[in-house]
Amino acid sequence: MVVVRRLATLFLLSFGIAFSQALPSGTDLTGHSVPLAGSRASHAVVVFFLASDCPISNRTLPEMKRVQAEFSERGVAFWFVYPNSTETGRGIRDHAAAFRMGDKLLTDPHGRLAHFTGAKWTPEAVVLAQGKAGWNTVYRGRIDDRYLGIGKERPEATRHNLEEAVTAVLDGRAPNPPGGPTVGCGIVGAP
Amino acid sequence: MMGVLRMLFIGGVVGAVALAWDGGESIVTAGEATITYNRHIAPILYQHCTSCHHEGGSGPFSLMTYSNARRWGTTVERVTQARYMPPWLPSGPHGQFAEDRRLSTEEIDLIKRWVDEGMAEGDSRDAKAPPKYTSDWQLGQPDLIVEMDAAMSVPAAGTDLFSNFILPVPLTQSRWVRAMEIKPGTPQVVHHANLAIDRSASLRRTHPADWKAGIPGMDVMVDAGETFDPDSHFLYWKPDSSALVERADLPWRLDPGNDLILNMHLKPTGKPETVRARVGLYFTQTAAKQSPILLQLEDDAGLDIPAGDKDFAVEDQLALPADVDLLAIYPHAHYLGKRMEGWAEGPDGQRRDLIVIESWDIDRQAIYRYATPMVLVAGTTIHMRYTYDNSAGNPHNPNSPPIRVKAGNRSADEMSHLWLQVLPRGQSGGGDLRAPLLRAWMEHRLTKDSRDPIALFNVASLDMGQGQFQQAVALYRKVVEAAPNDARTMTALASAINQTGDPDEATALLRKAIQIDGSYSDAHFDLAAIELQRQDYAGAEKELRAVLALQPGDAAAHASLGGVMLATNRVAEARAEFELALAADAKDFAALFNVAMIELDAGQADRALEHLKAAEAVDRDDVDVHRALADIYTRTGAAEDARREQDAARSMEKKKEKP
Repeated sequence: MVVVRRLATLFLLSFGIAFSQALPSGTDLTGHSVPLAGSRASHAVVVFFLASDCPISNRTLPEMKRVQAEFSERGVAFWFVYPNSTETGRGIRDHAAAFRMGDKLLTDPHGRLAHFTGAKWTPEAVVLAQGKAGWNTVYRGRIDDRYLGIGKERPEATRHNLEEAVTAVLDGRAPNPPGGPTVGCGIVGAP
Repeated sequence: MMGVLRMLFIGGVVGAVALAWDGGESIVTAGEATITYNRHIAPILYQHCTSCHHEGGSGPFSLMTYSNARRWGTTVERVTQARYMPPWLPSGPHGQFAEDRRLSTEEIDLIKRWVDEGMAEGDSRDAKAPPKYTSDWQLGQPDLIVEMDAAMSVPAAGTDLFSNFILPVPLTQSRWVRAMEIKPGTPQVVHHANLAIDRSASLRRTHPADWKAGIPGMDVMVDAGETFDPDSHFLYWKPDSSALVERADLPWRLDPGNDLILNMHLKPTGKPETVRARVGLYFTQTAAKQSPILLQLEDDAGLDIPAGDKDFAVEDQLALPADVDLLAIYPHAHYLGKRMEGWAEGPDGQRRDLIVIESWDIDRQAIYRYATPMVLVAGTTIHMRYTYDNSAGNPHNPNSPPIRVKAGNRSADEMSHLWLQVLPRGQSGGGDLRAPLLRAWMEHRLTKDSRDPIALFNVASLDMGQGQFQQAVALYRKVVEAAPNDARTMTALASAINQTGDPDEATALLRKAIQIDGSYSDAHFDLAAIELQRQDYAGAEKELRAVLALQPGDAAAHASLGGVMLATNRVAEARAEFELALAADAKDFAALFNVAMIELDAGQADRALEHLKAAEAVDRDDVDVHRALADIYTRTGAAEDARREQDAARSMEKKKEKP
């Protein structure tokens, strides 16, 4: 079992090294570019893709905020990205206020972040870690295992996959893959 | 490059599907390959989706416009492919139930093809007019609106909540309800809501301190009260059924002192929410001509599900003693429920499915009304069989890892209920047609558990209704033995014992019941009745005043107090009490008759006549009313009328002597 995991890790790392590159910038609500890695040296960057009108995304927000609170003082930068072309600045501000999300809010007007990370759903989390040659996506997928499918919902999550992934990165290990599908609403780009 | 490949792929699929597709108006031919929103998709959404999915509706997003549909297209495709939406659990034939919102296979295919092709809007000339929805009460301003005492806070995160809110009903007289609408307040938090009528405000009484905050639990049990009046209607809210309109001949009754109990399933949304539901009631002057009854099959005692068991089954069956129309059905289990099946086996052995749910999901539970009532003749046996999945593979399992689960009303417990709303067929000649059905149900419960207190109590009450007082005493005694500190049962036992001619033991029991629970008004009332029999008017007055302190506006208590006043020659006070009784219930017979007698004594023959006629309308077979009418007609010189009334009274007396 351990051997298999090692192999997977090696593959992931080599894959990551081959394609590692500079992080694309995010776009804040006023349209300005924001460097994702922040001003100080971050160990990792977590990007949440979310949608103001997606119920599963909204129901998962408390868990996203919990993980943010747990790791933001430990050298992990967190961003909440509203990737859908259907969002408006006003709508995002109202949503962020209602869910008390702070100010790490971004949009993705040209789909660069979604493209770079491979995100296709809301809610979906991406963990970026800095390798020798640049930033790699080391985890992409569900935040926890509460939803197994549309209409297949556990009363509570039994695995906190994102939290486990970030912990692994901080411990210098490669994260486990999500182990289940990302459940939520599809990301809609510009028509 | 991607785009070109996709177009080619789609073109191939459309060609193949077009051959098999023979829809009516919106026929798609190979030459006209594009599925458009305006022509194909909007009509599907308007018919099946937008009743919830509109601005301000209970769905989490709107599907009213093209841009809405485009935004949600991939999601709509996903959930319709999985048949998760529109929500519909039964797998039976289309048309069995009213409001069947299932999509046809063709419609589901159309949506998929539209999304795969890139979600074209199409020609605006094909656009249909969207349906109109209102955020107001669907049926206009209700006659009465009741509201939760305070808003309930729902936290941002956590497991689903199940809570029961008591809504006192400020009525001063009985009303018939023809329609009802529950407005949950924050529809996206409320998953479903059921409404129960607590005839005796029993839940409020058993939760004096905390009822305003909501009483947790998936299910509640309430006390049906003193009169024979089994539950008759399913009252509920689900996301797409805002106003619930009853059949014109089947309104339901609401009396002063009743509480409505709103049982709500609440789902945290991710941000803190508050919920304050309102219930709008629409009255009718027309009383119900018939009354349905809710029957239940269950095997909660059989629910003892080992941890890890994937396919645990329970069954129950009930033989119908009379012909009924089956109007609606409500299957209910919690998170472990898997497959549900209800069927009827006729006396000829023929089997008919009542409902089949292959994959139960409490999040989508609903009450299903039959499109046309199913006739079930006497001798038909109704069956249920439910299975449960208590393994870790059931994502809904509230316990991780799984543990042994039994019946209970917490969401982590289980239930095995199949409720049926049936309407007895045939003419009501001798008594309430529901009585034999209730008896069959309760006696069946006793075959499962001979000490079942609810069944013992109900059979005893049915015996009382049929004058079988000795039998009733024996049954009530069994219940009292099992629960010696229950004021309710003790009071019922006392009432039965009094009927067998032992007012002394009855009095002793009633005094004990009052000692146990001084707020149980029926004990005071029954004690007053015995004291009245014994002409202990001071004692009776004290007990009746206790009833009125607990239940102001109780018509029967006012009328009885009026009787005490009359017996002690306090005519003016008596009249005031009778008037109060009539204000609460314009059809209180004792009050109508006695007011008439007082008016007659005071020389107000016209008013007396009016009250007597009203009393006659309530009970046509009361000898005293006809005698009094004869008396009035004699005084006013209407000799013919007087003779008619005397004849009526005489023939009734003869009838009484004969049997």
